[in-house]
Amino acid sequence: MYEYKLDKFYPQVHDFGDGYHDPDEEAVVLDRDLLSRVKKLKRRYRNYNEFCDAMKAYQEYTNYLIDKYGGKKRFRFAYGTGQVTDFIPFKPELRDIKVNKKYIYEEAVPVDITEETDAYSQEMYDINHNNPDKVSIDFKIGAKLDYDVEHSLGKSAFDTVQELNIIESYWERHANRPRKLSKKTKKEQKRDMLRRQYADYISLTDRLNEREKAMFQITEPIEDRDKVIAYKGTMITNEQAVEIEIDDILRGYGIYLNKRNFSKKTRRVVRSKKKKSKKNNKLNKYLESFSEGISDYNSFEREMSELISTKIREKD
Amino acid sequence: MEHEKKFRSRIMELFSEDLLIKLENIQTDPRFVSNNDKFQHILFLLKDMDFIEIGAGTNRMAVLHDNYIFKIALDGYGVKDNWNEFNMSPELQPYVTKTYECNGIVLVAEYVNLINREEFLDSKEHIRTILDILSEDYLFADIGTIAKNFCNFGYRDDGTLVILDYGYIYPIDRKIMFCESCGGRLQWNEDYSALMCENCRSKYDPIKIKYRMEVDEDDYIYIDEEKAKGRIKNGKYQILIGGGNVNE
Repeated sequence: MYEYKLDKFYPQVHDFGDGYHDPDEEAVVLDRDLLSRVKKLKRRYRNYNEFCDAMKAYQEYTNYLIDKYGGKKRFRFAYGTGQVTDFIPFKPELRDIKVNKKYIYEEAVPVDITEETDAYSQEMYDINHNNPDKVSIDFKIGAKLDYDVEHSLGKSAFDTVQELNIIESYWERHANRPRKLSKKTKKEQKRDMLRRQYADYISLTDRLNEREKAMFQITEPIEDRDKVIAYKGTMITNEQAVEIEIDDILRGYGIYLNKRNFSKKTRRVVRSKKKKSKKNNKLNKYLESFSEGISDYNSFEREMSELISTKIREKD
Repeated sequence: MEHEKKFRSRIMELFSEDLLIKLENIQTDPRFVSNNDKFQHILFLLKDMDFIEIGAGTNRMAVLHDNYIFKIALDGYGVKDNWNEFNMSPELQPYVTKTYECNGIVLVAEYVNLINREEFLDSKEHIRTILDILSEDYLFADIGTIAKNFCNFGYRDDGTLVILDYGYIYPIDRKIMFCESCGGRLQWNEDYSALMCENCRSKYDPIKIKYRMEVDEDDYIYIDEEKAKGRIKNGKYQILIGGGNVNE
């Protein structure tokens, strides 16, 4: 424990009565014999008795690790974050040979029945591992105890590599074997063959599919709402043009729609149309007053040009 | 003879005075551009001490040792948050994590499992219940039920939901809970992320409301306790309790 010269570094404490201020528990000590036995564990065992002894050592060691790290969850966390510096052994397996098949397929895990074994295990097991022939084939998968212990350890990298090797060897074995042709594959093969023979070959299903597509094909072009078009001198979208047309038609009937219902751009176009129409009206009135009833601009222009030319002659 | 209870200090067991001086100097060292740089440097200082990096927040960082969280302040605000959490922890139990020790620079707290975003969204109603209880006596920030606050919640091994970052919880002073526009009372919104006036629906940040607590009692001008308005006079924020003419 450090001592501080400066008082400000001394902490204040709270006591919630949950053991924070209690000294650490005594460290769990590993038996040297157990460690040496665990280090000698093999991956696979031919002999069932040796496998039983190996499993016992493995289970004892896993219980030690769980105690040391304060529980399965904490051990998993420490393992996941790379804090576990202890030796992690391989899990022993029984070799898949004829003699051992009955134990493997029933997934029997040997457990020594002692006074401390719980009633569940005692009910489930009836072992005499010195006489493996008497082992009952009615064993269920492991003891509840063993299951928890086994599943508390994380997967080692070695296990992962082993699994990958197994998968790889499976595909090596099976990849080169000729595939058994099922009925489906035979049809597909036939179709492929026909396609190769007749380049234009189209199967009946393909033909029916194409016909169905053609029947329900939409030939009319679908209007693009957002397509920009030139409408009476301004660039607006199709949707806005429709709005303006509706407005024009309804105005013809004396119905004036509220401009708030239109989009901004539409409102601007309508406003500019009004201005233009106002402008046009002014120009028309001016022209009418000047031309004394001539409605045609071209004839008025002719008149004006004649007027100008007569005046020029007078000056001369 | 009374048996004296012996207290234990993990800060004194793990942090030497030199290390604490270094951590204190890092807070004000101008060579660090951001708190992220400070975080990386502190991790480097702690690398041989079996600390597990958990993460960094705005003003503090967290590391794990021996199943306890150590929150180290990265700046002055972090020191304030540490002290605030330490002071508030006993009275806010069991809604918050337990904080066992604090010296300002380092705070030791209970380790809880972090909640992920999906679990947080599923537990919104439960969290609202907790905040509803806390809102009666406390003003808080950053623990509302909006998605970005999910990292401020966790749960103990027994499944109890707790708030693990409560540097911004303060005992409430009802006198300051008023609207500056209309003098109406302030209430929490549905998410407990902001305060709203019950009359004009103006929104207020709880941290800004908290600053009103720092106004001296002398600057309070009482007129009518039912209404209140605020103004700034001579550069100081004053509170007019009861409205009145702001042009006085």
